[in-house]
Amino acid sequence: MAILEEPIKEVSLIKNFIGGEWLKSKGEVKDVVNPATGKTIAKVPISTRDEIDAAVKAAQEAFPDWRTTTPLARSRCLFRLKELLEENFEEVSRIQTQEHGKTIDESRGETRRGIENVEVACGIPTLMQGYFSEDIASGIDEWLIPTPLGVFGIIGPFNFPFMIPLWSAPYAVATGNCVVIKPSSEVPNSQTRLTELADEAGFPPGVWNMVHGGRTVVTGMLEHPGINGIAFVGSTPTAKYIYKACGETGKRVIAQGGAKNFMVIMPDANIEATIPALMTSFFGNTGQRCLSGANLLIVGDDRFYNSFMDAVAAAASRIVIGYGLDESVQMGPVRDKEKKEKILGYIESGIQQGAKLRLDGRGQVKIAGDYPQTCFLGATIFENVTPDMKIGSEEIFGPVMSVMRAKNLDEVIEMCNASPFGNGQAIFTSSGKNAREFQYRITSGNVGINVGIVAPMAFFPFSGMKDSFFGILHTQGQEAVRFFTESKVVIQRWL
Amino acid sequence: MAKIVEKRRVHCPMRHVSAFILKGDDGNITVKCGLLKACGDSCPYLKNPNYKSSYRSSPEYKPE
Repeated sequence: MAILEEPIKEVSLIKNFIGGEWLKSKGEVKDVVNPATGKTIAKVPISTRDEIDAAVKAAQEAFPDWRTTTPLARSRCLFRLKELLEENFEEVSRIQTQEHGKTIDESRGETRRGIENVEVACGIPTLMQGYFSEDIASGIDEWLIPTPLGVFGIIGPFNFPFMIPLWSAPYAVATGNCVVIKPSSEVPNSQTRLTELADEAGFPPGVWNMVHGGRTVVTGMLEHPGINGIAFVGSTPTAKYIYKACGETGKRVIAQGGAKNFMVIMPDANIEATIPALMTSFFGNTGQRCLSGANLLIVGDDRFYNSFMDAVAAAASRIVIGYGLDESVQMGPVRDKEKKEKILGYIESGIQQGAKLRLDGRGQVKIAGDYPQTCFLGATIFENVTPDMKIGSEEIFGPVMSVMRAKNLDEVIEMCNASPFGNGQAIFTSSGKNAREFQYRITSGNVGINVGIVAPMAFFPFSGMKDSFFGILHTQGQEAVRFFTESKVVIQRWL
Repeated sequence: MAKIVEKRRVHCPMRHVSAFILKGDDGNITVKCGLLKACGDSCPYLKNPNYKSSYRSSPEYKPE
C-alpha cells in the first residue's frame, strides 16, 4: 500500500505556550527523530526553571477570571476544541505515527479516545454539580460545592503522545482550573498541535499552557508552591517519586505507573476470537502500552497448550512490520534505539535464565518498505517462563510475550496476584463462572473478560492497583472531576 | 420523501466511530454520521456505501 503523506514536512524549533503566547525557550535543544525513517522531524527545547515558573505564574494569573467564568461558557471552549479536533483528526493522527512510530490505525484510535475525553468534559455543567440537604437540623441547611483549586501540572509519557494528557486536561479546565502540560520530549509534536487547537478553541491566555522539557520542568512543577496538583503517567519508579514529592509539598496527585499484565487462557476459550485479541494486546503499539499483555498464562493439558501455542506463534510470525503510515502495517518500530537496546537486554536475560525462545524478533527484521533497522524489532515469544525470571516479572515495554502455565484457576489467581503490578489483567473463557471468579478475586484496577486491551472509556476511570497506581482518584470521567475540584461544605442558619 | 428500506450500522475505520447507511425506496443512499461534516468528501461510505477496509490490526487465526 502507498505511504500516507507525512504532516510534518520541515524541521522546526518547537516553542512553549505560556500565557497565550508562543515563546522560544532559552534551554538546550534536542532532535525529535521519526523512529521508522530515522529522520529528524523537529527540535524540542529542554526548558529552564524560569520557563516553568513563568508558565505557572501565567496560569495563576488566569485562574481568577477563568474560575468565575460559567461552566457553560467553559464547556463551549471544549465543544469548539472537539470540533477542531474532528476537523484535524487525520493530521493529528498522522503526527502521532510520524513521531512515535505506531500504526496509523492505532493513532486514529488514540485520537478518538482522546476526543472522547473532551466530549465527556463538555458535560461539566452537570458533572460538577454539588448537592444540598435541607433541614439537617431545625432551620439549618447544608450543601456541598465542588470548587476548582487553581493550577495543575500534567506530565505525559511517550507511548500515547496525544491521548494521555487528555485524560486530565479537559476535566481540569472544565472545572475552572488552569493547566501546564509537559509532553514527553521524545514526542512533543502531538501536544504542540493540540495546544494550537486549544488556543484556537478560545481558552483565554494562561488557562492552557505547555512547557517542553525534561527533569528540570518536572522538578519545577513538583516544587512550585503555585501548583496545586499533578497528573502523571509513566513508569512505576517515577510514579513513586512523583507521589512522594507531591506528598511532601501537599499537592494532590494522580500517579499512574507501569504494569506486567497477565492474559489468562482457559481451555474453554474461543480460540478464533482469542488469537487476534492476543496479537493486538501483546504486539499492538509494539508492546509499549501499560495495558499490553506481557505474560500469557495458559491453563490446560499438553495437547491444548501445544495446539494453542502453535496458533499463537504462527499468527505472531505473520505480523506485518513497517512504517505506520503504510496502511497495511500491523506493527511499527519501538520509539527509539535506546528502548530497543533495553528490550534486547530483556530477551538476552530470558535466554540466560533458561526460558525457551519460541519466536525470535531480534536480528534482521522483515520490514515492509525500505527503512533502517535501527528501531525495529520482531514479535518475540518465550515459553517455559517462570514468575521469578526478569522477563516474567519486570515491565519490558516491547513486543515480547512470556508464556507460563498454570494447573487451574486458583493457581492463575495466585500467580497474577503475586505480581507487584495491578493494571490490566484479562481472562479468556466461555465460562461465566470462571470469568466471575477471576474478576472477583483478581487484584487489578482494570479487568478484561475476553478483552485483551482493558482500556476504560472516557466516562470510566482509568484505574490501577498496587505498583501500577499511586493516589486515590483516577484520570477520566467523574473521578477526574472530583480530582480537579475541592469539596466545600457550607452549613447555613439564618437567625 | 423516499421511504427507508434498509438501514445498516457500520464501524468507520477512518474515524473509529459508528455510522449508519440508509437506503431509500428510490435507490438513494444516505450516510448518517455525526462526523460527516468534518469528514466531507473523504467519507469512504459516500464513495462506496459497501466500503469495507481490507486492513486488519493483527493476523487472523488460521486453523491448521
